[in-house]
Amino acid sequence: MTTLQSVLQRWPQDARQEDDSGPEIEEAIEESRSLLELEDDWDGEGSPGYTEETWNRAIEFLKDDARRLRIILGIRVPAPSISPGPNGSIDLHWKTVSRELLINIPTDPDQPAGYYGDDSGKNRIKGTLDTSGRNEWLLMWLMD
Amino acid sequence: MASDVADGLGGGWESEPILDEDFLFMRVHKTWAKRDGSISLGVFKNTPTPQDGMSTDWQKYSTPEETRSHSARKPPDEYAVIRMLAGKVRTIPKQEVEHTPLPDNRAHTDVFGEKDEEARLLFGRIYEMVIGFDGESLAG
Repeated sequence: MTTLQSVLQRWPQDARQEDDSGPEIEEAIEESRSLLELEDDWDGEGSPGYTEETWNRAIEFLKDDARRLRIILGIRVPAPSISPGPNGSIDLHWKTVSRELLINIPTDPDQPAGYYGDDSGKNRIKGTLDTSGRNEWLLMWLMD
Repeated sequence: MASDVADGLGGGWESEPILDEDFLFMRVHKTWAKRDGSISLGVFKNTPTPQDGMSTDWQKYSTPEETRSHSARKPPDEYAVIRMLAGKVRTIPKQEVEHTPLPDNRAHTDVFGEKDEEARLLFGRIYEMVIGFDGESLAG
């Protein structure tokens, strides 16, 4: 029996040849560029602006894992809300019919991203992850 | 000294216990607004440092309109106001509600506790919009 793990392990590490994260995600990414225009103290409460480095990290994480899920399993992940996070970080937030997931990309590139998700019931996930690694399992959880 | 009088010696207002059924008001800058009318979860944060609290105003000593006008650097019409029941805030892991009055704001209340992804997602489920981004009063 082919396990999910063996299927995912066959996928090459470099999956950038096809840009197949989906039109919805591409549109959300384009709209989120406006975050880069926010200046320090944009909210009157001292919030810093957003760097291209942090934004790129969030976008690459999103595109790579959504693409892998699409190509390996044919699952098209809906577009998240790509939103301003606290203190210069960027949030990726999904809300489906049954589950909700928040991933935060911090400003420090050496720090892992944090995530939390649940189904408003007994199922919840929480932790940190290396955005440069393979994390499509998290999006699979969202789509379960 | 009467409890409704500020301590003229510079100590400010006394801190009081906040009941679970009391509301906390919080202003939200328009840039936190999302297309669907909800607010970005990034607004739920501690300021000015993560070791501080999330500033709100206790309904006992404030109104949504007063909360909206408290920002020192941006005009009131750039803000919406949300409310949260203190009791619901207390159900979020690690969160504590403490009345921390300031000399110029008796209603000031801090929500202490780390605002990690879990806390912020849960905050997103308990707030209600009271004054919309267009200035319209919403909740009764």
